[in-house]
Amino acid sequence: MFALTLGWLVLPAPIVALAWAATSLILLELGFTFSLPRFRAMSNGVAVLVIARLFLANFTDLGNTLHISHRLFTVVPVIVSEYYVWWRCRQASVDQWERTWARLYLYAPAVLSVALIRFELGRSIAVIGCPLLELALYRFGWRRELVDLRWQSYAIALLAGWRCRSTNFYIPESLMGISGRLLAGAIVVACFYRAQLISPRDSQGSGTIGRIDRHARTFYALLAALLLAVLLYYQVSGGMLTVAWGMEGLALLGAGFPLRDRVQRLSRLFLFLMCVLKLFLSDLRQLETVHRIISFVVLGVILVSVSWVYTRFHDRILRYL
Amino acid sequence: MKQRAYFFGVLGLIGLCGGAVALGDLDPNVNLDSARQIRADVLRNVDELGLHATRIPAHKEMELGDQIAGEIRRWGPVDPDATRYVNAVGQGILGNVNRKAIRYHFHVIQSPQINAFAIPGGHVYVLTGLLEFLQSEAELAAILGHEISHVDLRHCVERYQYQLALEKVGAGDLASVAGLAHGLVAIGYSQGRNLRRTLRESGWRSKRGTIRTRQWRCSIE
Repeated sequence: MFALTLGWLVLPAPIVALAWAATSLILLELGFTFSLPRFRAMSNGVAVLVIARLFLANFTDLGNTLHISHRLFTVVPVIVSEYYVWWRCRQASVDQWERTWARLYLYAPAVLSVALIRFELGRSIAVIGCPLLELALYRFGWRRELVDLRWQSYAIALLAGWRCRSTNFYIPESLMGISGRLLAGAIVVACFYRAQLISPRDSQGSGTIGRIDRHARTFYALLAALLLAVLLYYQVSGGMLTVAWGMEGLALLGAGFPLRDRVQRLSRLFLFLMCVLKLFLSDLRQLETVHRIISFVVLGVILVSVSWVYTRFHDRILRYL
Repeated sequence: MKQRAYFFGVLGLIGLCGGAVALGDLDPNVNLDSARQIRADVLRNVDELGLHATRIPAHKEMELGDQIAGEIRRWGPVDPDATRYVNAVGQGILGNVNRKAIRYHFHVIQSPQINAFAIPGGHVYVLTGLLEFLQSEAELAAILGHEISHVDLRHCVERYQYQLALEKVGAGDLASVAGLAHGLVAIGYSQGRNLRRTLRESGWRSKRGTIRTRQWRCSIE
């Protein structure tokens, strides 16, 4: 308590969290070295205070050193220290409750990272950082067999997808000279497809977690296809939307065979169904004649081509299924 | 041994970063801004969901706008000459709107107040006090662009959407409460809306020439 209060009174506001993080680490190390569970418990309490302090003083910190924001200088070391604490608890032989508590040290950095991305990149560009973080967590989660990281990646993927749709697809701004909507959408969709590709096809996990992991590939494929369809909805004018969705379906079909991905092919079928429904229920009434003709012709050509490919190369396609 | 190395490594990183922070320009502020911003983000995203679910078609919005316009007509006499002029300027900047189904109407009300506002369905009002205050057509175009963007980005109709949805399902009594509640929620993130609208306007403004930003900012509602 004395050390914490001293740090709080003496040090400048942005450094307090770092001083407390160092205190937490030292307490933990002492707790392990001298087998003092109370020190470790105190360390956990201080770690909670560090996170609260970051939200109070560091995420909206406007200071900088050599044009590098103090936010980075203060939050990144805390993230590293949290991962260290988790690793340290994993190495040591501790009680069950401490082991369960230690898992939180794996979640806290993800929360801090998302908040750091949000405040460092700003409200609209944050969505570009989130899927990259999600991809890193997912990859590492599989490589190290850490189910918690995979859970985090699923949650961050949902968050990124939702924010991309509700924030970026609606903001008429540009980033680096490219339409913000297009850039953000393309990066998020690309990350989702990348996550789909690195998902193992034959995950053997059991229980709830295993079931979710088994469907990770489907989850990412559907999320990407859906977000791409929504991106096209906002990006392409109403008259050409059916054509754009038809082309997306064709692209998913094209990718689905070489990748031997059933979900991709099923998403394509769903998209074609949507296109046909849209054509008859909406386009027929609402579109101008030229756009209506183009939509009918292009979708017709796409559907005929797909059915021709299925019929002509039936045997070869069967090998992919 | 490995544990010790990692421990001192992390401790060293913390010390190094702390030193780097101490050498820079320090920001002494401690507040709840980050929590407020995150709360605003969450509210905005949740509200977007509700607003998308209760969205009304353009023709319904225009009907609602016509009703409100009927009420506004009682506020004061309309200036027909000025209305024709404002309409000519306003029609010139409608090319960039996203929602083409909305038909825009520009009105000038005789009033000494310096103000302009928009209501759902594309009715844009300018008060004569504002027209006298402005010094160029570009300034007027900027203000009209601002108001048009309110309509185009659905800011005007969103104020009524929950009420209309509740009235539709027969819960008219709750409609005004819902409107009030939504107003309170929207306060939390109205800053973001202003940014979004400003970004949209900036594209339109540039087509009409340069304006003095200070003046139009203080004159619009």
